[in-house]
Amino acid sequence: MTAALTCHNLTVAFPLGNGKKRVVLNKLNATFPAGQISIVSGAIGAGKSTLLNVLAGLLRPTSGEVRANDQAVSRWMGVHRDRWRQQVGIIFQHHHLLYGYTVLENIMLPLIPWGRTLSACRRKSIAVLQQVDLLRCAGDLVNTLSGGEKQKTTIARALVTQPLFVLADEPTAHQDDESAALVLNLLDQCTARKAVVIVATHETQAQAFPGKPLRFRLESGILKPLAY
Amino acid sequence: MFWHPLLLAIFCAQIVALVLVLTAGLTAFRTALHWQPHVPDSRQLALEAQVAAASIQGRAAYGLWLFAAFLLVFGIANLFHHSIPGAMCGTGVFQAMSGSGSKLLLYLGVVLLLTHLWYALDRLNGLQVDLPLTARNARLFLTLPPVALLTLIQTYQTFAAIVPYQPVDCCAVVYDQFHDLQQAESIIGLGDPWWLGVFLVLSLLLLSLGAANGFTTSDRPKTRLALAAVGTLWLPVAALTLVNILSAYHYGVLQHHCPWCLFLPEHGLVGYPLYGAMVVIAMEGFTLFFLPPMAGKAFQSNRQVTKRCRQAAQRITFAGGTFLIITLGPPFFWRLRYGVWMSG
Repeated sequence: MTAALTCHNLTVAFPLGNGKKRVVLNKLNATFPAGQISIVSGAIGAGKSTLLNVLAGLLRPTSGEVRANDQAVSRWMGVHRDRWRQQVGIIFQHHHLLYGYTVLENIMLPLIPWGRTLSACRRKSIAVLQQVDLLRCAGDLVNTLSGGEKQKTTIARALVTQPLFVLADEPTAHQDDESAALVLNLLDQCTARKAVVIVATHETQAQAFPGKPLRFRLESGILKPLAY
Repeated sequence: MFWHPLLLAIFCAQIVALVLVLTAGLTAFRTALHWQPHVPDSRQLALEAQVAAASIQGRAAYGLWLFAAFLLVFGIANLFHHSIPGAMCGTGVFQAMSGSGSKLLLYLGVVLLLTHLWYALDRLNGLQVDLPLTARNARLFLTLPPVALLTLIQTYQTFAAIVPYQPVDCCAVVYDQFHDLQQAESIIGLGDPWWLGVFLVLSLLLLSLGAANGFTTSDRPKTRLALAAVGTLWLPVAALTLVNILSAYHYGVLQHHCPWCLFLPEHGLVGYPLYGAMVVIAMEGFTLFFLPPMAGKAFQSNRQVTKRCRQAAQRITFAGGTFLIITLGPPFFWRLRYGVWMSG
């Protein structure tokens, strides 16, 4: 199944408390196709993370909608929203790992709502840990890891369910060149199975992506496509 | 004014429920006026979030009313009579309430029926992503705040009407209902065997229609309506038969036509499952009757409505079965033990 993710007049405004609002995304229209990496770059505070949060269903837009498979997923409530979130793999900028648990346990967590057996969860988690080259840390508590290892754990957790929608917020920020190449290669592999992959990153890191990804620049709340 | 710590809990639950309903009522009002699911503008999206919050508030209010209703019945049946001289059960407490107790139970019943229907519709609505019943359910919700307010006022007035230390005679209320034995063995001029026969026929109908609706995959609108109608007829007949005829086997004496003594521990607290079963049948029968037309054509898939109606029919069957076992078990046990019925 292939599915594009589209934004229709997407607006996100945060109240500033003095009656005014800060408009982060302003009637944004865009289509992120399946089977291709879409890179969203922009200055600090441009709204890249906000856009990813809205796409992932973590934040409701002020107006407009996000559609997947012709369904307005950004307007879904309750259990339907949970169902949408289960289809999305999110690589957070600030990891959001459970520090009292081991790396393996953190990666197994997203598989629990899918109703898999514990041994199946463990098998899949170990496989994805091998892919991110972090199998040696499987039994370590997350708080003993370095920044780069934490980020790899986040990536493994996002990819373990083989989601059709992968949203990555600066996935190579804490990686050395070798690890960054590994991460980009993993994201590229997601496009091979027709997943929608959207990466928010800075301009300098955007150059390192393999192939010919779609490039967008987020400026003044508007997403502009960039030519090569 | 009568006062008891349990009353504080009842008032608190009702007041919090009222506040929740009033707050959610504002959203329901806005929803009824401005719900436009095809326009994803800021007002509609904000309204959608408010509707989700109002749903939680409504459900909390429903829970609180159920809690308050249970506490009220528990208080009347098992606690308050200790503080009223001459009262031995809920009948004495009702006597002290100077007639406003029935009104209170009626208001509470209306609130529970309406909230239960709203809750059933709200759950159905939540099953679909586009929330097709939101506007309709909001209009139904708008009926709740006035009834909730009246219930709270009635609760206060009912307990304010009780004059503490003024003695009552609850046994006199029970036994003064009839002047001779013939009157004691008939209800509205019809003899006990007649009522028992009607009760048994209606119970059989209730169970068979409940089973026919509850354990089938197809939608049967006619039998569904028949079940709701039989349930409505069954309730008063069951109540009269229970209090006037079958309760004798729980009390161990004839002609003690008291509806409240069944709640007392010396009679095994059977009032709770018996009246509880009747409440379930009333609520689910109400849902069965009103849910399909209220869900109507706005609901894309009729399957979920059918499923909910099937669930209601199953609950009615289970509650009816429980009621029958508890009411008819002791007479048969008596007959097996002594070889005769209590009435001879």
